[in-house]
Amino acid sequence: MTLYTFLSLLFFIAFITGILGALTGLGGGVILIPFLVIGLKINIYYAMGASLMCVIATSSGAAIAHMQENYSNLRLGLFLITSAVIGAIIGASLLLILKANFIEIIFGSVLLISAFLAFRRKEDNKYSQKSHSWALFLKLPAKHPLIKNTIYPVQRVPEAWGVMLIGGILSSLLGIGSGALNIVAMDLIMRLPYQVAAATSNFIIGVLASVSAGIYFSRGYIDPVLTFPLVIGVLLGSFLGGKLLHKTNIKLLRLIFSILIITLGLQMIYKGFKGFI
Amino acid sequence: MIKIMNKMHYMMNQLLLLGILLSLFFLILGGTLFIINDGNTQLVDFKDFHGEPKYLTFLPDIIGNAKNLQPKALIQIGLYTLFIMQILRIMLAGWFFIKTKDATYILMSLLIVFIMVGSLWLSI
Repeated sequence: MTLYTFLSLLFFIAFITGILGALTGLGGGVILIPFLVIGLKINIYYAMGASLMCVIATSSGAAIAHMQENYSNLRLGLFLITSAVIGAIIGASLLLILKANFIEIIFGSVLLISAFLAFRRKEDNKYSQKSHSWALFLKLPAKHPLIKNTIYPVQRVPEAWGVMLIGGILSSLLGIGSGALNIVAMDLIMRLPYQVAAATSNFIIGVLASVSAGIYFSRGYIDPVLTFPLVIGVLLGSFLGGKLLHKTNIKLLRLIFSILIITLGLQMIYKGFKGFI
Repeated sequence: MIKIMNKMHYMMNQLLLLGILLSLFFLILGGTLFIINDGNTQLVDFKDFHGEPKYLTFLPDIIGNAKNLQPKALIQIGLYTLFIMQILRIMLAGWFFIKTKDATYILMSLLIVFIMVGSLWLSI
């Protein structure tokens, strides 16, 4: 394969990942890394470095495309970032100790969990609940973006902070945005309106991925040749995906996407164990 | 307060748009130059991890090489732009909390900027 073919292939993979990511709400990283590692036999450290840059790019791109900054809860975002950032530093330190095949196994397991979590979302009567005392102290509850004259409560703040700590660890350990865990923290635990959770998650992902990327940069995980077609591809793909969002059968797509993620997850775990033998 | 909030959201959107365009400019410029120079050479091996050389991780070196239109350095500048944009995003949030005199969140913003710059500092 010439370099030219290789670059075109990377661009194509990233483009498809960008579309799928925008349509399903699951980030680019979880799918991009296994494609690179299993499909193109790229070392997982390089794949993680490139993936993180794609995560930052899509986070910024999505914020512009949906003008969703207006929905995001800035206080909550900052508060959760404090724990995610601590997690990122822990994750980056773990990365120095753990072997590559061990990381592949953890990655595979996270893929399986993400696929499971994608189906857990359900709406219920969540606005009748009271806010947690920390939420009141930190002034987290805010106006509901869609329902007039309603302030949405913010529940179980300490638990969400803890989940984000894990999200931070996974982000820098695996080179992903850990969007699935953000949604667990804000949607399932804090019970925020979905638009607020999605927009705030996007804000957190961008900042968190940057902290990890800074560390990755200094360790030489980010290769320019590998990364540039991926970032350009994923950006264009996510813009197109955002446009297709209203015309697609999301439920079916999520199902296909989850099956794909499970397959990739199992393959990653298999590859990791094979490395030990 | 809502006025400042809206202004901040607007500025954040503008900042992100500018950052993305600037980054894309460097990525496409660097990428094109790279393809013109090396497009037909054999594939580099990414199977084993070697780590990037210092001239692609050390910021002053990257800037120096980018000035000479070195393709890989230009790409790294594009990637750094994405990164710095996120720091500015938090600084803008900090500015909002200074305007609204919210000490808890000024501190939080400062802490996060400090850690972000710190992680970047590793490569300087």
